Amino acid sequence: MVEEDRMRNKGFWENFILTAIVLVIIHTFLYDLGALLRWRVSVRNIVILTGLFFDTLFTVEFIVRSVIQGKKKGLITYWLYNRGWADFLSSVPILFFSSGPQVLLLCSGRTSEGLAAIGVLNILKIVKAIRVTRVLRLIRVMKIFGKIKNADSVMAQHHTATISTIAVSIVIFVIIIFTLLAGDPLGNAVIERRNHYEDLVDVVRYETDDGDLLMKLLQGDELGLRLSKNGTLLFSKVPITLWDSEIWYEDYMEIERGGYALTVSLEDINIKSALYNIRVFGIILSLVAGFMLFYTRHFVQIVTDVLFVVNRGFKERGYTLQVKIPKQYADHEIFELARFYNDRYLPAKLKNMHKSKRKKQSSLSMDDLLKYGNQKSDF
Amino acid sequence: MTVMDGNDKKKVVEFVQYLISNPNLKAETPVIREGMIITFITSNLRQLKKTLGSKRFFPHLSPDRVISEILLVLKQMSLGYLMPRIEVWLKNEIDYAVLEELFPLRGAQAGLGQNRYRSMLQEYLTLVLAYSEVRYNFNSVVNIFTYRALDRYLREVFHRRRFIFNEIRRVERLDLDCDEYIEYAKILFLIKNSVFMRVMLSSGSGKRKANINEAQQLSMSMPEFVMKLARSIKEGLPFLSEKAVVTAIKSNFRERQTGMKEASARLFHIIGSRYQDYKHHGRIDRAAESLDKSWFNIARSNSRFYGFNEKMVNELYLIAGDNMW
Repeated sequence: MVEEDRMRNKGFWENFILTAIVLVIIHTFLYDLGALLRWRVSVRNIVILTGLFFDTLFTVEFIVRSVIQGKKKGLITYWLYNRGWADFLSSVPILFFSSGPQVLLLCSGRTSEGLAAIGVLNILKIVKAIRVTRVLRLIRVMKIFGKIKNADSVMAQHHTATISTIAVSIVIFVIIIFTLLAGDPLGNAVIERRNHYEDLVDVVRYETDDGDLLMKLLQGDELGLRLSKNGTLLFSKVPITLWDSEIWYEDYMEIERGGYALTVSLEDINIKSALYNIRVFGIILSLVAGFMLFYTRHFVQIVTDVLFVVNRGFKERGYTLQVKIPKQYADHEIFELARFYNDRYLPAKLKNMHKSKRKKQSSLSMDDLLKYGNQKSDF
Repeated sequence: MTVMDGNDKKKVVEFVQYLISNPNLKAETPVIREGMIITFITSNLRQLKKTLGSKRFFPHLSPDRVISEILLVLKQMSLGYLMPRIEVWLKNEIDYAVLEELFPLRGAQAGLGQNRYRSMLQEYLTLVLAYSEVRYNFNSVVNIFTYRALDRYLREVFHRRRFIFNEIRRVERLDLDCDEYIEYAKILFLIKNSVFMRVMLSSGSGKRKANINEAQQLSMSMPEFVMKLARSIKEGLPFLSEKAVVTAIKSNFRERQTGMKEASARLFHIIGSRYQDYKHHGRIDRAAESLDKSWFNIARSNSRFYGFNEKMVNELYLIAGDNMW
């Protein structure tokens, strides 16, 4: 009874985590879709909070699994062979470098002072500088491996999960390494934009320190959002009271130069970035789907199904079906084994069965009889 | 020792039910179960008698009486399984018009109509099925009729016109068309297990009754066995030709024990062997060959061991493979 309850609980949590994994994959897509479709700030805030929930959940799940496996002395097996490392990468770093800082930023009122007060400004700066957090989120896809039972065979599931994990990890790490070494084109676009507007302010200041000229130039520029001089607001395309609710915090940057505070839009760059992320996300999901749908089927057909038949032939007395050997794979080692099973083992097995039938060997034994006597002691 | 009462008989039935529910027997048909339990009883007779006479079983009865009651219960179970099937086949599966052409009734029997064939076959089968070994080996017939093996394979043989067809037509000189040959085969399969009936044979130490297995073990004269058995079968089924009866008997023999012209006997030996242990699977494992293709392929490797004609097995293998049987 206790064991039954334990199994039911385990089943419930496994299903809960599986649902959460599917939802987090949808969430990862929605995050970038929000930027692409310019969703309202309030909706995008909910997306950020939901991300924190998922990452916290998976971090807790990872810790719990590690503790449980540690108690069973299976921690290394979990980490190295049961994708513990993937569970780690798809939870802890994302919580600390992506969703965690984002929520902190949200709670701090999105001001540098607020962030400095809670001591995460430096982390956020580093994370933003290398711009890998969005790619990191894609690692979440790896959690799906091993959770979805897309084949009856444990071996097929394990191999599909391994090859998918390797493929997805390589895609993600290549992107990260290229970003770190060669720089992110979108990150460079932000720097270029910053330099451009800093130069603009400098040029205007060199000609005249008249705020009017800069104001007129920026009002005609679709990227110029707001300008103030020495704390006095000169113009704002969005009313200041609606600023936080209308403009997404990542969609603009502040440039301070000689008393001028200039706010410039980054929305176009972020849309390109979101599109790029969706593309990468699409590639990764397609890879996973391809492995799960096509590779698993292929693997099952040419490996596990064959082993299944051979195994039944070895174990079950009455099982005498031969293995189908496709011509195109006939030289594979597994089909060489199958050929031995077909041509040598099964004929020998049937000969033995025939001989034992001739010798009148029964499948029953006296033990079967004694068991009956013991069951029916009142006989 | 007391006489077996109703309660004891009930206990024996319960005991047999227990034996039948053994995992090794569960998947088998009642006739195979009966055969396996009889094998168990004969090979453990001394120990079994002791156990059955112990306090836990039937201490108040003679073990021999208990064993004969067990055998009776098993026989009833097997006949309860076989007889309704046989009735259905005799009613629906045999084309008596073809049979009448193949084996016309002669003498006093002539003109008695097709029902006479049916009643003679029914009576004959009831008689031979009294033997446990006949019941056991009748499993092949059950499977052949249930899965229409003769219709399927023989139609293919006649359609392909290869080795087996040539052997039947040109060597055996059996000038039957496909439908006639199928009916011929069905009748022969119904009677082929008569070899497990005991007939009186002469041996070194005088005369004794023996079935095919005993005759072979005691190295008795097989031609004498065939002759005596054929006579016995013809007594029950006088309409059958001598040749048909001998073919039915020889379809239990290995290839080298059959004559050059007995192609049908060799063919029926293979088909009968294939369907004796046949187990129908609703769904075949994905990487596995079909049931018959697997069996015939193994039979090709073991053809000498089983005493099969290699070319016939090969053709049956190709038929099974092409039709995914």
